[in-house]
Amino acid sequence: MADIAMDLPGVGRCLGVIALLFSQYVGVSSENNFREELLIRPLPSGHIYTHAEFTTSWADDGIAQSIEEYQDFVFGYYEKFISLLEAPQIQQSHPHGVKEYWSSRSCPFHPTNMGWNGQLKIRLHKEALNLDQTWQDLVNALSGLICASLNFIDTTNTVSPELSYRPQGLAEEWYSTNSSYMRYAALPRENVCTENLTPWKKLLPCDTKSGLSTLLHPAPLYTAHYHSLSLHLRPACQDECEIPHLELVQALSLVQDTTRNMEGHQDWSIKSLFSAPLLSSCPLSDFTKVYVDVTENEEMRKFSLDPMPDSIEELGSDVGLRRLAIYDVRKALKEDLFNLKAHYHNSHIYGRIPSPPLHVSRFITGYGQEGGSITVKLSNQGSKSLSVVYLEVVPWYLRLYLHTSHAAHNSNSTFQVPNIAATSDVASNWLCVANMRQPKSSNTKLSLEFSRALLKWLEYPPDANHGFYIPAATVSAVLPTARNISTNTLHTNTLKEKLTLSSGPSFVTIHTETLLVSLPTPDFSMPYNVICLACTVVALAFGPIHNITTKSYYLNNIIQKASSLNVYKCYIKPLYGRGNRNDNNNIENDLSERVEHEEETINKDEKENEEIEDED
Amino acid sequence: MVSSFIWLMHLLNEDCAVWTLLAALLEKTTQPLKLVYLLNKRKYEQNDFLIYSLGGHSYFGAEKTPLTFLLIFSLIDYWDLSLPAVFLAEILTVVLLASVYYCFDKPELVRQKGAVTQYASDASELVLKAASLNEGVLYVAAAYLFCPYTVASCVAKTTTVFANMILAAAFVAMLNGYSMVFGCLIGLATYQSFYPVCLLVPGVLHFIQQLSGKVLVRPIGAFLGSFILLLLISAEIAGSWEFIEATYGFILAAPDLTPNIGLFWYFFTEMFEHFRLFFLATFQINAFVYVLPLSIRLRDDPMLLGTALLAFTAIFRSYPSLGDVGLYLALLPCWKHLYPFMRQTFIVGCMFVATSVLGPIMYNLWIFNGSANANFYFAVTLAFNTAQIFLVTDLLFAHVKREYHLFAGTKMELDGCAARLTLE
Repeated sequence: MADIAMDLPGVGRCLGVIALLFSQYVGVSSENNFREELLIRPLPSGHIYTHAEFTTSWADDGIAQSIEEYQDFVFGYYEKFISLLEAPQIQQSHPHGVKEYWSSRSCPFHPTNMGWNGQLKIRLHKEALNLDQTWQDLVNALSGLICASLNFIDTTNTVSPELSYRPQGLAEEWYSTNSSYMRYAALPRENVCTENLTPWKKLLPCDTKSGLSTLLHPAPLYTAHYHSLSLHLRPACQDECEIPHLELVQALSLVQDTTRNMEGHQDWSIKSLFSAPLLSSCPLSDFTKVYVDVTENEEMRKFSLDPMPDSIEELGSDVGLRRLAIYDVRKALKEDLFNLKAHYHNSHIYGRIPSPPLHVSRFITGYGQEGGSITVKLSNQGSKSLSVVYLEVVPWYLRLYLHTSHAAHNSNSTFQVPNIAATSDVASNWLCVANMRQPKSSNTKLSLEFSRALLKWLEYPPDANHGFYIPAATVSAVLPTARNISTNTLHTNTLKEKLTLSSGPSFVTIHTETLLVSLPTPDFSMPYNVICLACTVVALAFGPIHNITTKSYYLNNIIQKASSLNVYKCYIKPLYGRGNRNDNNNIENDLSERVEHEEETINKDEKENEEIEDED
Repeated sequence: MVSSFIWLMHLLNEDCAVWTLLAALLEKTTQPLKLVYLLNKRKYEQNDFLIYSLGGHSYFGAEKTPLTFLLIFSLIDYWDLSLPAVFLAEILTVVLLASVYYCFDKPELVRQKGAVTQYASDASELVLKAASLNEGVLYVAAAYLFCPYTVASCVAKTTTVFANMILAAAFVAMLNGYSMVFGCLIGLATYQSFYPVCLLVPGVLHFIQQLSGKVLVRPIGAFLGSFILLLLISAEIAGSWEFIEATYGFILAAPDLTPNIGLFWYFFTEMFEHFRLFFLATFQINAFVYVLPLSIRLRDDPMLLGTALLAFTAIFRSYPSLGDVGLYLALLPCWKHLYPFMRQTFIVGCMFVATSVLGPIMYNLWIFNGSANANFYFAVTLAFNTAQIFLVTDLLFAHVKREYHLFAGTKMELDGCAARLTLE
């Protein structure tokens, strides 16, 4: 099957992946695994967070060898594709609620690896012949594969950030620190919808026929407060890292509000969350498991689960302690359909939720459509100072004023942005990386001042006055403890293992809000008028200068236009007055009078010339 | 002469007061006042310098060459001298402009006195008077110091102030016959913003008439030498030749469509992509196309040719600023003997006043209030440019007509019967 993939160029290569998946499943070889897991976590705010993860891994000698030798293993003969392939897309049905919710302090943990809207991170193989071309091909192929407008990613919005991202799969030291193989792009206006869900589901071995994927009906998914769909492809390790394998993780996260329609009770069931109970598990999967986070629910004091879990396991320790109720769905389904229910003893009490140690919010300040600034507020509530990397990709039409961009600090300790690197060009976006030290228990305000450009009229999107979306910025930091972390291990293969937090420093990436900026707009209705008027003004200079340079002044009789009275004045009157006119003595005596007379003629002349001008 | 200098000092003093007052006002109220299309320029430039010093490509508001960056921003901003430097440059420009008037009008007076026998007997009224010489110096100084456009560009601390100083110095060098200095200064001005290259023509014409010997070689040689030297120094500073694309490419291709007082921004915003290159060439050629015909027609009066070309480049350049307009307006008192022959002074005056008042209003309505759209401001800039074009062409017509009257007399009669002047 891999041979066929090698012969397929472009999109065919990605289709080759699917073909490969199916061929492998048909064989169900021992090295290949598929696992379905679902995590349900009641949040202190009354919302329910559900996270479904489908992990597929392939391991055979060919793949192991190609990973070790950095050879191409899937994508044809020159793609040399390695490491991470990630395309999470996030949509919010209730923009305010979700933004407010997920970025606010009420968020109990950092939703890792999730930005707002379309985002693509790729690490390319070192032997890829032309990195940019490979990236472009890949983007187009993925665009077709998951039916997203990823093809709008081009050189203008692609960056290779140095500090913020590292490979999350197997990689050698030199490779992981070299950002030139890294490509990152975000499409802030890209929404995720059923058109993305359907091809995403078809990548699963059981398609939508059986298993957890039968739960994923569009209606509850797209009315959720928060919804994220992602694909991660990476080379990973099994067990003692003896056999490298290729791992594809398909993840879907949801945040739903149950208290609204449950009379204040937070009660939920699989049927209420997904509008259907679970009827089957995928026969190709190693296991199908459902986890319920009961960390806050010791001995079922808060809510009771029906049916009772197979086991309750305690994972991690200390601040990272987590208690999971585990259900083996395949076993449960032998008896009946699986509809897990949680029944709360009391109605939900809304209260102040302790904020995460590191919190970021971002907004636009300023008024009018000339300038403004992006203001980022970072707050570190922890007890240790943090080293924070802020990454921002600003579109070129917001022109940053770097000399006025600064960070202010509310405590009196010295603070500065020691490293702001920026590149700007009409053809590419700004990449701003601020590497800063965030002292303990402090707030920092970072402001990036910009002015808004006027674009060409065809560069505006269809609804120009709606504004332009600015992609989310990311803040990366290593937190000293595992408190408020969702996962911090990369060496694991299953969701349960991922949820086991290792104590000690944990790396987090926080995504900020997407911003909406309105730019000054031209009048789209009258390009012809503008072109005509501006050309007319330019041509106004040409006529007079042509006259001045090609013609000279002559006195001309004005007989033709004269009335009969003027004919009399001009021809007949001089016949009478000729004798007086020739008298030179009179002229010298009447010099003062004559000067006045001359001025009159100049004035007359002016009027006539205006007429000439008008004719011209 | 002494009295005129006393007056000049007085004017400078007055202007200093006005200027510092405005600067103080602006320092405090920059945000709400928003002196349209001016204050930003300074910010662009400072920002460009920062990007440049970080090793990045300077893109917007470029127009500024590496050397300009280095001189103006690293030296002046480093010592925080921008206010005194701009002020000094303005004073120097005023003195230079006053001396332009003096150097121009005095020989002109002598020439006309000498040629009075060739003139028509009744044209004596039109010949220049010695009495007008001193007051003319004052007019020029006042026109530059109190011109709202100049004051605005000074207050905004734009680099146009320095460009104006160089151009004024070039005119002084031209009129005094320093051909080498003239060539070098034009080289410097061209290096800065490219358009002043056409001022080489009136200079060369002037030297041909005034001097003998290698009149062509010296200014042109000095121009080429200084220009190439500056480019080489810039390439050395910038590390590569890419700055040419970032500066002259930026000027000629006009990629920045930020609203300004010129004709380019809205036209190329609304332009169909298909015709963009064609119209770009058509618009850019306007700044240069009048050089040849005008230099043939006005070959006897290089100073007028210079003023006209200065005006045309101020109108047809891709990113015009108010400072450019202020410079050629300040030279207009040199031609006060042409005023009686100008026909549209009232209309043009009204247009200037109206557009200068309406411009900021319309811009604010569009950008800040959102109650108007781009067309309102565009209409004002169109009218402003029309007024400028009328002013220059009117001046040229007045010159041609005065020449006619000097030689043919002021009597508008042909064979004793009332006649009129027509262009044929």
